Amino acid sequence: MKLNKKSQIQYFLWNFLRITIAVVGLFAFIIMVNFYVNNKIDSRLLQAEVLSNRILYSDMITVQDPKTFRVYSGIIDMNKLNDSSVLDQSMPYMFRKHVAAKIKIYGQDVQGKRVFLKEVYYNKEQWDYWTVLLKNNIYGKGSASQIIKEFPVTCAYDKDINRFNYCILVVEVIVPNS
Amino acid sequence: MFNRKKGMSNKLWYILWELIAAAAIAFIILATLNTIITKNTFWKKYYSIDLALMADIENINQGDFVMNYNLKEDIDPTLKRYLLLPNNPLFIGLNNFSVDVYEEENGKMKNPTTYAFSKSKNIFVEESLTSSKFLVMSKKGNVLKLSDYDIDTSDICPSYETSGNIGGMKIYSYYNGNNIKSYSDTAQALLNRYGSKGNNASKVMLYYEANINTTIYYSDDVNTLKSQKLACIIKMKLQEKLNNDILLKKYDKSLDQYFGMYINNANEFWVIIKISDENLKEINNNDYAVLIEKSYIEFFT
Repeated sequence: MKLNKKSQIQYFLWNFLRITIAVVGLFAFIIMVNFYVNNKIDSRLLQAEVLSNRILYSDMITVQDPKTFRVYSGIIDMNKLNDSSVLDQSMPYMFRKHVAAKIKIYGQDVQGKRVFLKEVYYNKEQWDYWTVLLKNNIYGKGSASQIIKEFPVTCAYDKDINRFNYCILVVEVIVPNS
Repeated sequence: MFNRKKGMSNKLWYILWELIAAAAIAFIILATLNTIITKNTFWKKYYSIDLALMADIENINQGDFVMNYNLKEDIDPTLKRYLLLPNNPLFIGLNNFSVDVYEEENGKMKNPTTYAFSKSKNIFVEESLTSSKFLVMSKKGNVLKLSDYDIDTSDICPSYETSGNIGGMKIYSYYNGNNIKSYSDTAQALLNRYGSKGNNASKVMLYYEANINTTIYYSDDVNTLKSQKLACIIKMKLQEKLNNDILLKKYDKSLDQYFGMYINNANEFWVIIKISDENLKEINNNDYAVLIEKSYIEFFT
């Protein structure tokens, strides 16, 4: 069927209208489904909080009485940190992409400045991977988020807590965005 | 192009076929959505995260820990109702490294949502698969487990949500013999201060027999959880007055001849309290009435 110019313009306008309506309908459908089927739960901050508190309050790096098994929360057993895999051994994980962390212990010099003492990683392989993404400002679902928490603690150098000083425990947690 | 009749007719057929094609595509999209999304999609994710983070906390391994966990009853309707999304029962699985929430459909576990937790090296996880509206996650000694709430063996009353307005529910007190009439009547006099007459009424029934073990029965119906909670609260309060132990039991229909008319097809929760001669010497009618009233108030608080 041959169309004259007027018909061609009418035909074009008619199809343009139909396609526009179809696109609007499709978007409306997607928006409605997204609106009603809410499946988004952001638990990243909570997950990081739980992990950092778990490190502080469990027997992983804190002093524990060998007889009563009582844990002295907030008193770090510096001898435990000599083992770089202490966190991995205490909290084995099945899913590598679940969470990664680094803890750093700082002391203070006579002028009150922070002095780095030790650091230990949890899930280091994944930590290294995510750190690259974060340093390069790569965002999105495939990337991760970092939360840093600081706790004032006591660093003990023996089981009886005879030798100790006051330190800062910095827990850096990286959790995936999805 | 619309000026000729044949052209118009062709165009109408064209639009008709387009509408049929659009309807078919919409149907396919909805059918696909229906297989992926259910009424539980959000809650599966929510429960797996929530319970796994709780398991993480319990793995801190400092002392014993018991947590009662109440699953939500239902879900917002709106579009999901129109999409005819299925509402399958949920099964919660606790494994060594994760909490998995499944849906049961036609006897099969499907579409699990998994969230990991880090197990402490000193903790033993008792693997389980539980389906209940009320769960208990506990760490006793070195054992972490997830199970149904078992009121017969539990030391504490269930903590599921029953708060509400006591004034919104009528409460009736019944009895089976004249020597406990004063107990029931005094309780009813106090309970009359709450609620108004209606179909939804809670009932507390007092059964007397000279020599029996003191027992509180809870219902075995849709209101079991509420009935269990009320029975447990009454037990805890009654235990302070009586010298003998009190049993909590699921109702076995043994008292149907006395209370059947009140409890069969009951819309709301109820309990039956079995007491003996010995008990009547230890608690008077006023104390009993106050105890029942306080129990209801605690239930609704």
